[in-house]
Amino acid sequence: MALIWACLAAVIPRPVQAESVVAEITQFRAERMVDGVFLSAVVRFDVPPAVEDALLKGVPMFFVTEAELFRDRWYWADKKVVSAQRHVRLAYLPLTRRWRTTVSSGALASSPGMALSQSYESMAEALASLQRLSRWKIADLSEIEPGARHNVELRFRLDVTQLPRPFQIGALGQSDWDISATAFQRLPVEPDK
Amino acid sequence: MNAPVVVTPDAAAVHRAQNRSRAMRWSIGVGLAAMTAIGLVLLFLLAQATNNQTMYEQNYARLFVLNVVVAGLLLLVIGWIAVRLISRLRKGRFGSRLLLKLAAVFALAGFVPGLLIYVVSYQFVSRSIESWFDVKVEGALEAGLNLGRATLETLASDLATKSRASASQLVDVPDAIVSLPLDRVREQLGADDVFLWSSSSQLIGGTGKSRFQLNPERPTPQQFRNARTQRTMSWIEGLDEATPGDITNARIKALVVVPNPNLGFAGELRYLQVTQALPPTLVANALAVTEANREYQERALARDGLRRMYIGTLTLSLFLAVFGAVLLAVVLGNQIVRPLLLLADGVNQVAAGDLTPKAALQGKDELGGLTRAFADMTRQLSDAREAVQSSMEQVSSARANLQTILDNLTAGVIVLDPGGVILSSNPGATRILRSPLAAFEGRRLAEVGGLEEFATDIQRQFDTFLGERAEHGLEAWQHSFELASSLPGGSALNGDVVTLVARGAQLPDNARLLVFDDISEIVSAQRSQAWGEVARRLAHEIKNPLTPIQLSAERLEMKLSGKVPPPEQAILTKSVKTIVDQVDAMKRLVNEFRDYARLPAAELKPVDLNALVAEVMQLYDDENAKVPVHMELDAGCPKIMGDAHQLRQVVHNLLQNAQDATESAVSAGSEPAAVIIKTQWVESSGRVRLSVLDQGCGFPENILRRAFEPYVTTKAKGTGLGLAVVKKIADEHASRVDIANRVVDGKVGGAQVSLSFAIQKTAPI
Repeated sequence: MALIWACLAAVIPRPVQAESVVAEITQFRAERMVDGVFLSAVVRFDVPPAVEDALLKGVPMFFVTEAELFRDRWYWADKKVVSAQRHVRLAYLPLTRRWRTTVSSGALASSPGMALSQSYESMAEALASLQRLSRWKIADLSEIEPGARHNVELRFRLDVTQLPRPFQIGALGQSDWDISATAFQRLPVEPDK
Repeated sequence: MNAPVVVTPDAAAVHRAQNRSRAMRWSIGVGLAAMTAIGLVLLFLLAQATNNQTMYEQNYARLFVLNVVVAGLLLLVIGWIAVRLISRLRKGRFGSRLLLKLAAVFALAGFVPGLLIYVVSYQFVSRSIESWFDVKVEGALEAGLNLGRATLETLASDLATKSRASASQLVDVPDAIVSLPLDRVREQLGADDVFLWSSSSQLIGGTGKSRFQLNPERPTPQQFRNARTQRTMSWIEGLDEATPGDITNARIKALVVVPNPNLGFAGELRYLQVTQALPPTLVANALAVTEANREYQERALARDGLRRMYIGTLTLSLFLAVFGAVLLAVVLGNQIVRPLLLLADGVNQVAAGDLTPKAALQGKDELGGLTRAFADMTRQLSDAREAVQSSMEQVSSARANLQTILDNLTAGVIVLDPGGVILSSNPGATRILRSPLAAFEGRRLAEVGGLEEFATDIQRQFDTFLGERAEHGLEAWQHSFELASSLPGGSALNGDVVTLVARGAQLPDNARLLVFDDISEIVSAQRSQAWGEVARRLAHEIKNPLTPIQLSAERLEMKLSGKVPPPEQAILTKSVKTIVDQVDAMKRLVNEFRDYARLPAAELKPVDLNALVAEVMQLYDDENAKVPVHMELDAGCPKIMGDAHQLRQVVHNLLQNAQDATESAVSAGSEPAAVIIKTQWVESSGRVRLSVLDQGCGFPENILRRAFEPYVTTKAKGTGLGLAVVKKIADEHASRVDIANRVVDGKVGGAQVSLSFAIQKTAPI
């Protein structure tokens, strides 16, 4: 019986989250421009060895950046006005020894046509482009109320769910595979000129 | 028989309980079946999910959780069953041990094979997954990849070298006529496109398939920079987007600086860009190798997860199988054990004496038959017991009847054993023998005080009877006995002798039956009747000569008076007087005897006793009375049943006696005292009591016992018939006569005679 319990314990994901890889969002800036709401930020994290190993062996990684715009409501929970996503696929091509990022607004498997690809000579370059967000438009001005106060929540994470399934089972609950960061910012009321 | 009435509710209850338990079993069975089905489906899906198919991959985690939930539910059910079983065991509920044993056996039977298969599969899975990943395969893939890479690099550098060589042809060609030399270069190199760029990234000229494009793809500034510093550079494009099905875009690009002949001259640099398509087969193979390598690496990295997945699936299946087995074991065990429990429970009940109808199962198997047979057996047993009980009841009621009859017999009945030991006796015997015979049961009759002689006589009678029975064929002996006055508490009325007539017979079990009756009163009655007859005849015979005697004596005196000398005259007178007096006395005596003998049967009518006494008392008023008589009459006396004439006689006789006694006491020197006559209504006994009290000399002890017998008197001139008449009249009235001395200060202070009469019965209801 002890054997069975041991097996079960090994199989069932441990609910206790191990210490995650330190990732932080810096230089987070939300701007209200004439033509929309723009975000700029830099995500800082070190690629864990397990992830790097998988990358070098040709397994693509998916990073998801999510932004949500909330309007303040004093009488109720804040209302979600807009939510935007940015998926980045980072892959290493062993044949050409090049790194490649593919950016799209939805899950990459579903909308490959909308993707924007770019190649890099090294992982550092690719990561740098991945980690930098500049003037990401998350909403049109028409989508937000002019006078109201808004909050922006920005989340960045390594999306394990898009990995191949056996990988997920292996990766589930392991701290090496948990890269995530969250930041909040108040949206300035007046558009910057 | 009220058995069916008792059976019906019980049978109904049993039936209801059976129904309920059947319903419960049904629901449990259906639930279990549903759960097992769900488990099986889930298991199947889980097994499919490990097949690496996309759809199942998506749902793997969900399925896994669902399976875990089902397993948890099963575990809960098993836990609940286990708790119930253990609590039943704790409580010592009958049969739980057997059920536990059966469940354990079944569970073991399900669990052990499952565990075996699990262990083997576990080993198999972990080994086989490891065996997929081979160093050689990995090396081959790596080598293939490297080969592709090397080939591409070679091609690229080759193109770059060639481009450099070609670029030298363009050194002196002015920008305006560059088109032709470019064409030539393109042909030399076998390239697809050749472009010439200025250092400010302006297109100077181009040739090839894409020359008609409005805006040909321009190298990045970075590439220009690299080309300037390294004089030449090459790269591969289109492989990133290429898929095995679409490889047309894959091409090599080389960018070289066109040497400037005017060194030092501030002319601007020109760049030659050559584009050459990659051979499709090469690209396809390289991509295939890359793809295979990627997948291999993916799986190699994910093999831990894969193994976990397989083993998790296996473990879950084991759990589901084992839980299902245990659950089935409990349910099946219950099914098998139930008839046994029913049977054993019934046996316990029967052993405890409970013969109520037992539940039987309708199953066709042997156990069901057994329960039915047992129920039949119990019913038969119960019937038999009931029959025995009813016959016992009949016997005991017969016994009670007999006992009641015996108890109420006036005759005495004693059962003796051959040794004379009392086996049983009835109250009649106790009454007649005046001995507590019940207390002497188990002891010899001779041990009872005063009955030693009686016992001896009876023994002798029995011995004689048993000795002679064979000869004469007698059924019983009969004999009368007279018991001496030594009997305790002998009644004054019956004298000192009790006359018994006893009858003896032998009982079947060699015991001796003795039946006897007190015939003292019959004897006494016979005696007084005989005596009355004698008295009547004697009186008649005596009375006849009395008148002639008297007349003769008076005539003698009349004739001779004055004719004889005085001395003789005196003798004559005295003698005649004596004769006449004595004849008178004799006449009176004879009359009394005649009256006693002739006393007619009483005619009982309602009589007011008070009025009667008052009427008689007129004769005893102060003028006539020798001794004063006081009346104390109870006004509340109801009328009694009696013969007024005879009652008058009684009152006369009693008053006469009282007066005589008082007179004799006065003559003996006592103070004269009044005679009291009183009537009294005794409500408790429902009788009226008539008492006469005097303060005379009372009765001597020997007279007191026989006072009512004729010719017993204390008076000098009494006939002794007064009280005998009273007794006779009292007997006719069925009234009781008590006679006693009045004891005052321990000294006899007179006598008291009381009679109690039955009252007139009220109208019959």
